[in-house]
Amino acid sequence: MDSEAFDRLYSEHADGLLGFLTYQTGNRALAEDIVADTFERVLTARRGWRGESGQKTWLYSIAMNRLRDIARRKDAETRAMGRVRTVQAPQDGVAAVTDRDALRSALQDLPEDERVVVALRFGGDLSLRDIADLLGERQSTIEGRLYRGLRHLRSTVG
Amino acid sequence: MSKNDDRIPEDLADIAGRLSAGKATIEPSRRNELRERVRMAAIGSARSRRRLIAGPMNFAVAALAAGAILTSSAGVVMATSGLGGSSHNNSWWGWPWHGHKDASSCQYKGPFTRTYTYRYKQLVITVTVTWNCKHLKYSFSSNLPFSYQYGNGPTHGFKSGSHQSTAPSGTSGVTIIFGGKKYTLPL
Repeated sequence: MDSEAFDRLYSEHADGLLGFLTYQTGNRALAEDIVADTFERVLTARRGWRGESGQKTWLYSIAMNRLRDIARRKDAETRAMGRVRTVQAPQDGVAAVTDRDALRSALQDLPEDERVVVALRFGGDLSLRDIADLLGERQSTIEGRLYRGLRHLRSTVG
Repeated sequence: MSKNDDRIPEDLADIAGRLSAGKATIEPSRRNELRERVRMAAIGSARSRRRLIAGPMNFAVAALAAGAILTSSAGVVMATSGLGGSSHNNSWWGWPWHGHKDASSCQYKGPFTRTYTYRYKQLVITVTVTWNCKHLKYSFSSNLPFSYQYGNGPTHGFKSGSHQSTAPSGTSGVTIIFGGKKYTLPL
């Protein structure tokens, strides 16, 4: 991938990817690591995006593979959970920080299939169609999981 | 959320809004730092790949000039030099042992010694193989940690230096492991 294309991809998707990964892992530092790793793989991939899916979907699939790799490694997972408990949010308003922390914490208690949909939708700002493509599910299934996840969250954080 | 295709029920609009508002974002300075980190990591990866290919290629030129028999396999260059034995048995990148490991053939083909040098990044490992008409003996010498394994047998690891070994009879090959790579010489 040439430098210009990489810059464009990074500018367009770094924020969304970080939003998704932070909601998915509950850990900002770990999320940044995975964002960096994902874009490194994009830069070094021998076979780049081949147009079979949206470029955004391709990028998120790399990130999700990386998440799966991490989940497989027990040690890394344990470290990640340790970091979750010590993560410090920026001090940009006590009420906002408290709400954000409560949401992130509640997300970690959601069933995995609901959390990933909520994280992709509201952290990554992916459309339901993109999420369905990424996860290989029907859009109606994704929609159902999203609403179930939101209801669970509402009951937890009020 | 307007660009998305969901129709959030009214009772979930509040929690949906809070999730959208609370998502993590990257500050501009941090965004640049992260991008540079990605670029540097990618450059490092590319250099590693180039060394894997170009390093051995440079070595190949030198080795050819020295008249060594040289071939490459899976990114690792191996230079060989033989002593004694037949000179016609170099058909498969210099590996002479096919049909050669029995005493009857040895009486007219004779004993055989051959040295293989592998180079990968900073590692240089020299493997000297000797067929004395009875045993296949290996001498390994390396400047960095490596290990080897006969067939599916146990792995023998060494920090560096030299090590001698005799291949067990009936083994299918020896695998040399270094730098996270495995290279097998079939016997």
